[in-house]
Amino acid sequence: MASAGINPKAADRIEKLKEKLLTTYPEIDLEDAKILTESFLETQGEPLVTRKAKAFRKQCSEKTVRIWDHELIVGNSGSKIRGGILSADVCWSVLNRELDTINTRAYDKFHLLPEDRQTFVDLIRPYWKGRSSYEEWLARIPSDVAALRDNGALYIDKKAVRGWGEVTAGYEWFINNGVEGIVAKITEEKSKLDATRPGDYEKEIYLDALLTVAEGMVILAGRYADEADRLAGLEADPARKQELLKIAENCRHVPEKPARTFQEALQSFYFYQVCIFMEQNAAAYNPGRMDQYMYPYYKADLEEGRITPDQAQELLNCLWVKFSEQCLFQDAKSAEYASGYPMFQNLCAGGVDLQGRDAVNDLSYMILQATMDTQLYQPSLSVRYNMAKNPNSFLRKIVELIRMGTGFPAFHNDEVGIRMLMNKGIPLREALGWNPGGCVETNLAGKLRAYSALADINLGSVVEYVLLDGKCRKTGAQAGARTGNPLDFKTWADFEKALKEQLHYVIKVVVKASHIIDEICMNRPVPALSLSFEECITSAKDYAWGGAKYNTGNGIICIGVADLINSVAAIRYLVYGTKQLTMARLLEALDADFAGYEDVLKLCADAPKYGNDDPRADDLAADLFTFIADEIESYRSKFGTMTPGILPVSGNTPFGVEVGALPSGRRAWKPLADGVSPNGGTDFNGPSAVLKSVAYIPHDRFVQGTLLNMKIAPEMLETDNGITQLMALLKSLCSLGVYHVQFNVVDQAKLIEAQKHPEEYKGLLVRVAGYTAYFVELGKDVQDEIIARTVQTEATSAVSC
Amino acid sequence: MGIIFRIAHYTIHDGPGIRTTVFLKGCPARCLWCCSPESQLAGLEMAKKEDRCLSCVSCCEDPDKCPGEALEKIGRFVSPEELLKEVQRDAPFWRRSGGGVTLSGGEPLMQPEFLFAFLALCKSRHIHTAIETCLFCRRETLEKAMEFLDFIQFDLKAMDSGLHRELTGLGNEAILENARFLLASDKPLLVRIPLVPGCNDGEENLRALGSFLGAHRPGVELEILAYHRMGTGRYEELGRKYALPDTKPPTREEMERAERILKEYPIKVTRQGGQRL
Repeated sequence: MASAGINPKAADRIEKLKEKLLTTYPEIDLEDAKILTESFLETQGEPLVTRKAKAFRKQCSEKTVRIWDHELIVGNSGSKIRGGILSADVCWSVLNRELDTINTRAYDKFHLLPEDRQTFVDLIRPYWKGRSSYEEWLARIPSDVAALRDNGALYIDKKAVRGWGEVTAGYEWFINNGVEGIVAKITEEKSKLDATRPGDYEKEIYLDALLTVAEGMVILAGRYADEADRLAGLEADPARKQELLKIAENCRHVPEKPARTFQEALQSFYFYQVCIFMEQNAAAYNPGRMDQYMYPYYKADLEEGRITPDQAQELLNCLWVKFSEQCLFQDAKSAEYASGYPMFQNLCAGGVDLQGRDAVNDLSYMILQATMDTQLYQPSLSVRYNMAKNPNSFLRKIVELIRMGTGFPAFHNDEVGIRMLMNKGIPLREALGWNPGGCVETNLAGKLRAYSALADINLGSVVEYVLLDGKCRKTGAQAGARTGNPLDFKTWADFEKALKEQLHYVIKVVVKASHIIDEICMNRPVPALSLSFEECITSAKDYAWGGAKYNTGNGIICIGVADLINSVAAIRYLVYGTKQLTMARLLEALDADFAGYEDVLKLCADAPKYGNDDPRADDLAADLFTFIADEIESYRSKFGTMTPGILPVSGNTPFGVEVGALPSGRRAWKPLADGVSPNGGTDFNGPSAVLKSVAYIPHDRFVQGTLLNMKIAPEMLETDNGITQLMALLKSLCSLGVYHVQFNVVDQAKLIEAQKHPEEYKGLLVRVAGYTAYFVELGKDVQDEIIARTVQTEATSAVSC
Repeated sequence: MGIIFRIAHYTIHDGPGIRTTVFLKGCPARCLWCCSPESQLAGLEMAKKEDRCLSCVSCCEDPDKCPGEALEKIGRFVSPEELLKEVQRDAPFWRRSGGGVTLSGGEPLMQPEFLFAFLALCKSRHIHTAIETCLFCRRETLEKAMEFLDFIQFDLKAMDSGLHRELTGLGNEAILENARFLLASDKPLLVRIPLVPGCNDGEENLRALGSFLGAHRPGVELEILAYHRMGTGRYEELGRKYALPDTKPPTREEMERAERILKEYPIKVTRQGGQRL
């Protein structure tokens, strides 16, 4: 698909850059790990943070530096496009375990070249054996945590298999002050130290480590400048030669010095992005509010006549391609829970400024346009939509992007986001500057530390444990709490008590595990990341140690929301309400996965369901999720109050495989519901009813975000009126206090799928001539006709969460 | 009590804004192309999906008990108060979009007492109200309904009474009389014509329509709706025969031709459907 909105020459450049990207198969990239290991061999005996900093500087000095044809923004965290970078000190053993399968596993395959394999076997493995965080975690995991994990109720390894991530660095501070300004700040802090005072020696070591890292960044940029000069010398095309000389000039200036132009600011930003990713491979290094911190540079360039809007758009588009060059390397299990090499570099437009004014500016639109033009899977584009302050024209641009069917942008209700930040303990004056991170988590650039999604709890398992007195159906093992034989639950209150006990138990075990991971992570300093956290410098304390201005407890994420609500609603309605079903018969039916119990299945399927604006189910959404939020927030870690969230990434599918039949009528081993969305095929009343139900979840209590997926047929957005009404729907969502939504505009392939599996697409609306109908209720011939007329979108499929 | 057969939420083509459309059961006309045959009879009905029927030795004739879930009850009785309670759940969406409730059918004016009672309730709560009607009703009924309605959509299927009778079973004298009255009022309106190839797409009919509308309310909006075959499956389920087995939806060219002809008159012409055929 041709890029729109920019001149043909610029579109051609983007097409070429994209072509190179899309034809590159992901490959394991061990160069950084090799240099890290060599450096650690040279620095034995020195403090850990010093060794990390020196290894970083050595990477900057020795790593491959390449500039691809046509690009205007340069930099690469590894040596390859789409390289999977291994953080050897964190998790060398993951690659060890998958040496033979990394290119054949089900999700997120990588090539592993023979020479890289050799480097791994000869150098990396022998050094790091017994020294990684992952091994430390495996050695320390308590038996009750392991029981939940191994029986599918908990997924908690991801922090041990990759670096920090889930953070928004202080890009604005970094770009505006340059490394030079930050070094001045570090030097100033250092001058206040007195090595005879207890604690100051450690601070000095730390600040020196920051200086080492800063030095590395300048070295790296200088090497890119040299490379650009070299290529300019060889370049025959005078236009490209000029571009290369410009790149060289930029790289000599930033990130060392404060940026002077829009292009320099983007380049400085991207260097830093590359550096923190180089330091630790992880998902969700979130660029955050780029329309805000880049705007002064764009505005100044425009006013000085240094740039045209078209040129600025081209630069943004070039940066968008760079974002997509990154590929997350993770273990096979983690890849199941978040597949698609997801980098989750969450970049945001819109919202309000720190004075509470409308913050939408020209760049906000251009950022949305960049995603329209490039149609790539990165960055993970989000909007903060503030209904009171943001203009309708911005909302319209959002809907125009939604209708393209890439799944972007993730739409966030700004007021709820602000409240979430405040609920994390951040004062309003700073909460106004929040940004979405990763999937839908909430973050604050350069000021906030936490794993926003440390562990996932399987709520389907929780239901199962209540009905099996703590046993896992699949394995038969005792994994949950003993909450009693359900046949003895004479009243709804008895059942509810057991359910809450089970939830209490699982949450408690997870909190314990989170505290252990916090301890392990104290040995995982990240000086390159900490460099843009002002308070890490003033307190001479690393991000990992709690040096950021604000720290919260880690995020505990709930998966299977609708499964929990619908299962409990069915039991309350059928067993204790209408008494159409006995607990004994329900248990038998679940044990048989409803085989031979079709009548029970029908009762369960017809019981009240979340997603239909039916208070008989929705009341439970409010009750249970207030209880869960209360439970999670009743614990503190050494960093602050524990934080709840609801975002599945793709974890609802692997979690489903662990759970037998549920009273909701869901058959055994099938996927669970995603995010706060209804169970597939159980919502019958259209998008408005879904939103009404979803509004019963206390969104602002789930401070790490809540995720809603909705499907919409392209016909609904075909006309101007359709666009207007979707805008109204989004405003209604804001009035209802729902936090987030992202739309899946259903293409032809989906409709064919819906025809084959109508039970999973019951709520799918399609626009028929003159009226709207449920697709699966139409006759086959009519369905065929609609399929035939649905234009196949050929956009590169975007991975959102 | 009134009888309805469906409530659709988030409809965006039945009046301004996001609407909740209530389909009332029962219709005086029998349009050959009718896409919702279940809307025609004014009483409860049962439909049967043959592909689901397990062919029991004796049929229980009870949709709630049917083991194959092949039987479906069509229609239910509601009081105006119950209906209001049900539709009002969508109020947050009306507020943001300037939407409201649309009454469709069937022919909503076939149940005037129920309709008036329901509309009066809506107006007492400042809910925006619309109707989709064929205008086959007594003048008093229409006038009374107009008191409660913010927006009216009506169809003019054929201008010649003989042709109208052939296509719908009804003569159009009363319809045109009511249309004239409405067009002369200041009520916000949308007029529609379902364009059915071989039935009402002749040039003469289109010109008569254009000139009628242009004469009685210049500038009025006329929407050309492409004929479609979406309801054909319903006929089988109800054990009825579809009267236009071989009629094809209009092509894009046919839609454009109709539009061209109608645009010669002083009215605003829009199209819906048929764009991609």
